[in-house]
Amino acid sequence: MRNSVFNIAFLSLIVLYVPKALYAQINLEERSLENLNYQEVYYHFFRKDEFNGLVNFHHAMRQDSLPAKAEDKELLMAGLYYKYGLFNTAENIFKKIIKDNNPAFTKAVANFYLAKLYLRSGDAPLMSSALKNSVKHLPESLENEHQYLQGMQMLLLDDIKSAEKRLKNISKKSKWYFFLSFNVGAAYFKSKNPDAGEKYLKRVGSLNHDQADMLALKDKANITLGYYFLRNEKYNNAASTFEKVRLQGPFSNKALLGLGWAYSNASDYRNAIIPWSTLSNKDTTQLTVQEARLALPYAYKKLNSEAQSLAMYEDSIEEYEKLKTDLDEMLLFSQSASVFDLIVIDSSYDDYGISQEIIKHRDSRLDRLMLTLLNEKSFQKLLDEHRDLRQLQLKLSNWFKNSKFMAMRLKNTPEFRKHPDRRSYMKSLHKIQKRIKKQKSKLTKLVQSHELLVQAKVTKALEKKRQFVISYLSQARFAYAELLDKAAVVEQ
Amino acid sequence: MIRKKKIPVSILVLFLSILLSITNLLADEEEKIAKQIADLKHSIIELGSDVKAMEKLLLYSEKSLLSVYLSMDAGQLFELNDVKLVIDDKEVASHRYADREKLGFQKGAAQLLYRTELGLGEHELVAVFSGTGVRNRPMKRGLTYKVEKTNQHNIIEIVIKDDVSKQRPQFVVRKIE
Repeated sequence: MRNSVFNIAFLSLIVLYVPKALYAQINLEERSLENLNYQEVYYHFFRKDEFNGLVNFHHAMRQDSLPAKAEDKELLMAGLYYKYGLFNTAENIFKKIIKDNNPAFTKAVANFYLAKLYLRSGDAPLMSSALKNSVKHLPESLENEHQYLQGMQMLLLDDIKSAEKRLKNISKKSKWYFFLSFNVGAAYFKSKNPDAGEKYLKRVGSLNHDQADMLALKDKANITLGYYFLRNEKYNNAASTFEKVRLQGPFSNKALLGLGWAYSNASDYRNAIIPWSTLSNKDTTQLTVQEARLALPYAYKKLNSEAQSLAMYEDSIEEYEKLKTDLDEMLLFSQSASVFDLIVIDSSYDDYGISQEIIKHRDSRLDRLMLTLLNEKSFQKLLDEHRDLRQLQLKLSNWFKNSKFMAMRLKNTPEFRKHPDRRSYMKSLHKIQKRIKKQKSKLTKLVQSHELLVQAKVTKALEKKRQFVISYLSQARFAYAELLDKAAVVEQ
Repeated sequence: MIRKKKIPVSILVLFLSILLSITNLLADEEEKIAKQIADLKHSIIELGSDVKAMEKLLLYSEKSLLSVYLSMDAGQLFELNDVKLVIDDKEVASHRYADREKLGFQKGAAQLLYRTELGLGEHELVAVFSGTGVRNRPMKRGLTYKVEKTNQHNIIEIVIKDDVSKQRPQFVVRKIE
């Protein structure tokens, strides 16, 4: 039997790994922040509430109520836009900071973050110039990351040797050292020079750290390395590498599958059964579990336990058929309705309109299948957009409610009844209400288009999953029939 | 015995080319929608700033406003987990802090904990802070403060400070004029 999943898993790992933290946080340097308006925007920045941070920021700017001496006002604004996914706006502000008469430190930090933006878009020449311009005046705390970015820029140009040299300039205690080590290792694998990459991945795979991002990186390195050993028939090395992956982490399924293959390919079927049994009992909507359900009876067959093998193939065939029916049903559903009808997005929002949500599913098999699908990396951006659109819808509704309340106050409160500006307030309020309505209608249309897009992508992904299940089903049926044939021959 | 059927190459090529064109179409559509979302976000942020200005004028009466902010100065001796705010014996706000918010406080952020309209005169404000102190010891501290509501927007800031000599946190109220 071809172990197809591990080939796919291996290939998908050979991509440059860029730490999430790079995009998730802009660490503006500490300053004396005296003005509460500014400090409040800063609070929104840290609690990942960029929308309210930006609204407050623009409002305070317009009211001229931000401290004049806060030189990094624009840096904070650019950071908020960056984190809110409005990269072009962030880029323009960073460029303006560099062009304007700002202190050298502020310009250096702006260039530093521009380099990050260019890493995101994969633009090596622009990244190089931004890094050069940020090298002086950058705070010491950003030095390791600066070196890391230089290494990444070289990797964008496929200059692995130069990237490798950068590692010497990064403190071995810094997490940037391990991020760059992983990427250098992965780049060597990608350029078909795995021997050179091996030592880097081994280094990351044995790092001693307790932070979540470091542990995930460590698992990822061990998975990449494990599948590399597997492909190169170094089964003992593969097994010991897979065993280093945490069982409760996101890579545990891939590790269990690989561990089974490492033993199985070394003809140690008895040991292969252990990880595959664990995996087979997990949620069958996962591709790795589907493969384990095919691999496990294969191992039993190899151990001459035909009866057990037959029973397991039968069980797997039944499961694949159920899955195929579910996928057919899901495909029909996804062509006619919104996928968001199947999952529950907890709509509890706090006072700031920040969604506290985690996507949940109701308890049916179909919902679980959809959840597995949407949890895949390729849907992350679409889900983030969906969440942002929902937050905007909620905001507009609240603003409209408030505007009605304001209109009531204007009409009925003694304070406003004889107010000289009452008429102009009323006029402005009507204008605002009109604008809210206009944006609401635009948003409704956009939500519809977005849902259609998600629907199309879901259909495509479901179709792909269906092909996998069909392939497993056919392999399981074939192996089952073969076993039956063998049994019949023995009987004769 | 069941045998696998071979799929003709021409059908496979056709299937792959259809898949590829669908993929390209989807990528174009995704990019188009992402741009529309970005444009809309900009417009709504701008609108939000105008709504906020309007709210400031019409939603509250500036004269009867009281705003309570929370910030931290150093904050090495106390890790804030949650806060409860009581004004005149009524619980008006509570908040549980995520790690990123705690980091924000350490970097100089301030949270608008509560904003309300209050009548003139004296009011009692009680804030209860829960968290961990030195050597990870659970800690609960209360602060009582008499606010004199005047005929203007009264702003108070509760600052959590480190009392290094006594190795414990200090809760200080600062009036912002």
